[in-house]
Amino acid sequence: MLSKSARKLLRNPWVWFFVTTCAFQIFRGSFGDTIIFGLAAILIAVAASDAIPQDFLDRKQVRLVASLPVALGLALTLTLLPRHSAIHATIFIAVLPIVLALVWHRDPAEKLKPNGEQKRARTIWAGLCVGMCLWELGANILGQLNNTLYAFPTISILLDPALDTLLGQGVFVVVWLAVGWGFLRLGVKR
Amino acid sequence: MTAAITIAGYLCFVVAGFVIWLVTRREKSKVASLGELLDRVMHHRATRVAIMLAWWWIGWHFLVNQVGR
Repeated sequence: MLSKSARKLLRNPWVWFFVTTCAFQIFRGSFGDTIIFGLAAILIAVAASDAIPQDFLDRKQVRLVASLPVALGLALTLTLLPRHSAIHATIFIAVLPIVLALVWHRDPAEKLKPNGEQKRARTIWAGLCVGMCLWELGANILGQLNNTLYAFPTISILLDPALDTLLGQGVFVVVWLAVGWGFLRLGVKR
Repeated sequence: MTAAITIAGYLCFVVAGFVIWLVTRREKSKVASLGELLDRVMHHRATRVAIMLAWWWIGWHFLVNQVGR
């Protein structure tokens, strides 16, 4: 019989999503992404299992006056330096543990069941995201079988030329940072 | 031709997402808004960690990785 923790892990859709994506990265032939998604799946499993229940950083204590200059510095550095640089990699590796520490805290005490409106929203958005992922997966598989990049372009192939320009890189960095900042503000314990 | 179909597929998903986002912002909507949904799902640690890892990887993929496919 499976323990309660093991059942909790197996029921978590995020663990399955990251394990599946890890398997897909093997097919894609990307060693680095296979490692990233494999480690991410393990980390999510640990998060779901309550094996490390500690709070590390409190998002409520992160003041706008402190986070804004950091975000501005990141935006400028990530935009003005050419992509794929060692500095980019260093920044990303440095940012990850901070972000994870900010969201690792225990869940709020109250366990509210989602209402009908939220369940419908969850189904619709999950369907849309899974549909998009399957479409991209199809493009990737057909592209690999066809041995071309442009007959069945993936999102990466489509966006890459735009990101090679300073404007494109800047817009991507700003949107990416804004989305991350928005996620960090969501669900803050009130 | 295959490229046009592939791109049209992506655009359909983007447009559908925009329409759903717009429609669910109305007060009388029977579907919760995206903001309300995200606010709710971010109550779970595994979801928070998963979403932030996915966000981080997107940045990593486009800014650090050399995109092959």
